[in-house]
Amino acid sequence: MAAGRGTATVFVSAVACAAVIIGALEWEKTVALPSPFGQVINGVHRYSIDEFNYYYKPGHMIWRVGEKVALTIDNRSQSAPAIAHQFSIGRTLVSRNNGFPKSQAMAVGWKDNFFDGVPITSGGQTAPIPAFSVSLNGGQKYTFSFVVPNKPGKWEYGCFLQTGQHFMNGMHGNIDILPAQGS
Amino acid sequence: MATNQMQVQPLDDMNGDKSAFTITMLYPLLRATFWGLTGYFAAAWITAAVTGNVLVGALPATVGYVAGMIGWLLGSGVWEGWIRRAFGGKEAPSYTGIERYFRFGPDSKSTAVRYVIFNIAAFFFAGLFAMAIRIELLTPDSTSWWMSEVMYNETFGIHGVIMLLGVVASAIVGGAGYYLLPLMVGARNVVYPKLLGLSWWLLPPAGLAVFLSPLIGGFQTGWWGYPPLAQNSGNGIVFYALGAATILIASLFGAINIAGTMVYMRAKGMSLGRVPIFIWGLFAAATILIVESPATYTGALMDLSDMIAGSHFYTGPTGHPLAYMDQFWFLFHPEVYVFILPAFAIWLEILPAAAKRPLFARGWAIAGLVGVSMLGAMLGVHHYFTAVSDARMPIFMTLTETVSVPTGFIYLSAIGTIWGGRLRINAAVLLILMAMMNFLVGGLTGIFNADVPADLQLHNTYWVVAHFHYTMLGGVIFTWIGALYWWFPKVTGRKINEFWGKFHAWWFFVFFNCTFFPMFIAGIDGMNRRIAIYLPYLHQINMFISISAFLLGAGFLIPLANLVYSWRYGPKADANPWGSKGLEWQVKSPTPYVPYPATIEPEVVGPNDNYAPGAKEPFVWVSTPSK
Repeated sequence: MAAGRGTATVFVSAVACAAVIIGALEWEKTVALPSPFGQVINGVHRYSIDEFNYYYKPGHMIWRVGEKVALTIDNRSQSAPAIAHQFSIGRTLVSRNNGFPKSQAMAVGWKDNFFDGVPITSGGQTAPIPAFSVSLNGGQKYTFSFVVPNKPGKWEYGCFLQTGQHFMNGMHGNIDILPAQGS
Repeated sequence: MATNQMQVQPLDDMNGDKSAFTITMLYPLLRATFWGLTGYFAAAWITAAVTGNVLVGALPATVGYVAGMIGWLLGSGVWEGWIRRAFGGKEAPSYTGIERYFRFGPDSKSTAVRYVIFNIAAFFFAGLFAMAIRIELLTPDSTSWWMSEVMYNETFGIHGVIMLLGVVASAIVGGAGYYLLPLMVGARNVVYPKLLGLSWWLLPPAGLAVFLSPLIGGFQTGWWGYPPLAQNSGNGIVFYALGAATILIASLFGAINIAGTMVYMRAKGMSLGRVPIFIWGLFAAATILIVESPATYTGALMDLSDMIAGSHFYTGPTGHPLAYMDQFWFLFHPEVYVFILPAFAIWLEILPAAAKRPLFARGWAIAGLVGVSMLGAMLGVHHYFTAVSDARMPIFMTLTETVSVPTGFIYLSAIGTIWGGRLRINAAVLLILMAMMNFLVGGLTGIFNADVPADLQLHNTYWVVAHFHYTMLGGVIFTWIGALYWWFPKVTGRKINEFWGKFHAWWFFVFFNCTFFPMFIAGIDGMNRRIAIYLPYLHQINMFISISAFLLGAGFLIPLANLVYSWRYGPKADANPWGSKGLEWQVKSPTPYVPYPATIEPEVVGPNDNYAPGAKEPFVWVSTPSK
């Protein structure tokens, strides 16, 4: 009798435990954007990129040359006090050597900024901004839009604050930019 | 010497361990796991959803940890065994069979056995982390195929926390200590049995949280958790702060039991001068924990509050990071004495029995143990000479070097005991002699660390790493394994394999010294600690250290196999195989559920370490007076 009740308790606990774990992990996935292609509204591909300590959600996007993209960067730094994060897209890391013979160079920026010569629309104004990057304090949000320029291939985005410590801690993601449709 | 006739009959009636193992005995453990996981994920999920955070955020992880801990404790048997009765319900029966090993209960012996299992498991996994560190250091640059610099930082942090708080903090105090505490003072149990039972059940979730901290972002501060890096290097620091605070509170529960049992539960005739020296060692360690641990676990929790509640104790415009260091080292320097004082006391407990000589200068040895614990509270600042004002340096340098005086009492007592005696060297005694040698090196090099002019050069180099491993691995872990061998017959009724015991003792001693002695040289040559990448001229010595470390690490499988095999198949042991006069050896092996039955109890008539020829027996058995 007692053993039977014990078995039932353990069984019910196991089922409830599995349900809660699966539910929580599935919910966690929905917090991020489900699709690397973004959400298309009126022909604009909308992405919301959440900045956490020290990663982006999503960490991967797929764009196509010529499509309109609207990015919302949301700094959701979990720590208190929340800390600032940065967002910039580029290729080829600029690193600062710290005297050690090999590696251990800190990545501090991009050699090629993706937004070079790209008109960026923000707050009703459109203009190219040299070396464009977005820096936000904790809790801030910023939206901008642009047309994906003809620079297909693999690009990366990252945060280089604190002399590249954020980048080294894993605060980077990548974008596959596909050639224009039909080309 | 043999078990008193008066004692035999009642003891034969009390064999609790004979019931067969059934799968239902594991139910409390399963229930605890399921309830703990459910509590963690449900609470983290709700918190994340309400506050617009993610599951791995700092606040959801904290709330989840607390709820998961409560679920785990209730599932493990705290509900039936303790809480339900507080609400007017029925209390669970006393489990005297082997099911008591798998559930919460008031039995100090099964708690101690669980401590040993936990320590061995924690030592094994944290040891694998050490191997991972040495693989990374095989080459001067960062090995891309093995681990990133971030992972390296997380690895040595977890290695440090688990080895210190999960292994050495409870290795001797938890295993040998809680097992022998009531037996040695002639009591039937400790003074707060349920509190002691609870102290073990706090450990597994805490240890697991630290191990799994990389899953919520890891922490790169090492085992110190210094702000402001703590706030800026990953969310895993939440699990570090909670895990460390939990383990310290669990140690405090044990310490309250040690002090209370020694003060209130001693057998008739056991004056303070006749208390076994091991109990004095435990008591000295317990006073440190009772007096100093609150400063440090509140420090960890205040640091956590900076992260989740927006307070500014150590960070931000009004916070002061140095305050954290003061609080942290207020316990964590004396904490190493919590680790080593019971080890010292084990030397002084085993050596008289092995040499069949009275313990030399017993009063001075007790003064040494208590003296170290009293001085220990005053010298944590020597860990951060590079961060404090010049005015604090000479004071803490002097106080630190004073510690060598009471430590000297203990060494002289141990040497005086074996001087001129004929030492019966079995594996346990061999390990203890080796521990004395290792700790001597560790202690002497500590003087250089305490010396301000030397320390400003040696600070944060491998010299410090070597010094610390000589005292902790060479001193505490060698003694721990020796103690496991020495009291193994008392716990299991069987003996370990002496050949393999001695074989791996020499294996350890050789490769331990090959691993850690070159670290002194590497440190003087400029090898910084906690780095994944070092300058190429240090390559050769690091290769040598790494290869020795792999051999040392592999050698730890020998005692593991020896303990497991001997537990099942070892030769049967008598109640008192070493001819010891200790009170714990006068009861049957393995120790019955109630070591001293209701009808009889020991009365102490002399010190238990007087092996002089013709000395009278230290105990007589008397009838328990009916109240």
